[in-house]
Amino acid sequence: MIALVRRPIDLAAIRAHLATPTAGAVVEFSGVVRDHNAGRRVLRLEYEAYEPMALLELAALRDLVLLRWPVERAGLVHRLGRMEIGEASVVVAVSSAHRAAAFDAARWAIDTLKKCVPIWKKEYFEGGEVWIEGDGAVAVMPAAETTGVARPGA
Amino acid sequence: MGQAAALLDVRPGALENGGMEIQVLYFASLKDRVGRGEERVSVPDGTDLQSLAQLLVERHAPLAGALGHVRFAVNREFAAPDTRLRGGDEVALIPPMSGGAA
Repeated sequence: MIALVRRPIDLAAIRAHLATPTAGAVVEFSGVVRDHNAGRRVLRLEYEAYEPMALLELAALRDLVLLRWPVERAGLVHRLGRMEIGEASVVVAVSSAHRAAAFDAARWAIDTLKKCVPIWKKEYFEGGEVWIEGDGAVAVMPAAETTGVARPGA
Repeated sequence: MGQAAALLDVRPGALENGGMEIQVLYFASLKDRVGRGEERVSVPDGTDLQSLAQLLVERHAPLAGALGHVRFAVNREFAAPDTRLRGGDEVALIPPMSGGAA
C-alpha cells in the first residue's frame, strides 16, 4: 500500500492492510510535525512533491522491502500540503511473522524514503519561512525572488 | 512510424530548426528562485543534462550557485549529468530531500 494524501493519514486503513493471519508483528513509524527545529520555534510545515515520480519511488521502496525482508505487507503513506504541530506527515508500517524483520524493514524504509522520494518541506517559523533541503541544511528563500511572483502549483 | 509521419518528423518536441523542446520542472527552493514550477525550453539536438543546467543558469540568474547539490530526473527517473535528452523529455531538477535526523 502506497499513497500520497492531502488529508490526515488514515492509520486504521493502514493497519487493516497490514493485518494477515500469519503476521505476528506490526511495526508502525509516524513522522510527526514538531514545534522546534535548529533553534527555531516552528509554527507549521508544508510538504510538496514531484507527485508522479514520488509515487514511482514509493512503489520501488515497497517492492524492495518485500524483496529484502521476510515481511508480509508494507504500507508507505506521505501526506502533502499544510500540516500543524502534532500531525503525522508520513507513516511507514510493516508486518511480518516475527518482530526483527518488521523493525529492520521499517527503519530502512523510512531512512531511504527521506533520501530518495522527491518530497520537500517548507518550515514556517516565528519570523520567517525556509525550505529544508539536505541533512539539516537550510535553503533560505531569496526574498527578492519570492515577493509578488506568481508561483503556479505552489 | 508511418511514411507521412517519417516525412514530417513527428517526434514529440522536435522543432523545425533541428532543436527540441524540453519540459523543465522546478521544486522547493528552486521553484522560488525561478518564480515558476515549470517551463518549456528549446535546446539544440543532442543537449545533455549538464549543458541544459548551464543554459538554465544563463536564463535564470538566481539559479547561479544553487545547482551544486541538485540531482536530475528524466521522465521521472534519476539520471546522470551526461544523459542526452530527447525532444519531449520531462526534466526535473531535484533539490536534496530533507533526509531528516535519524
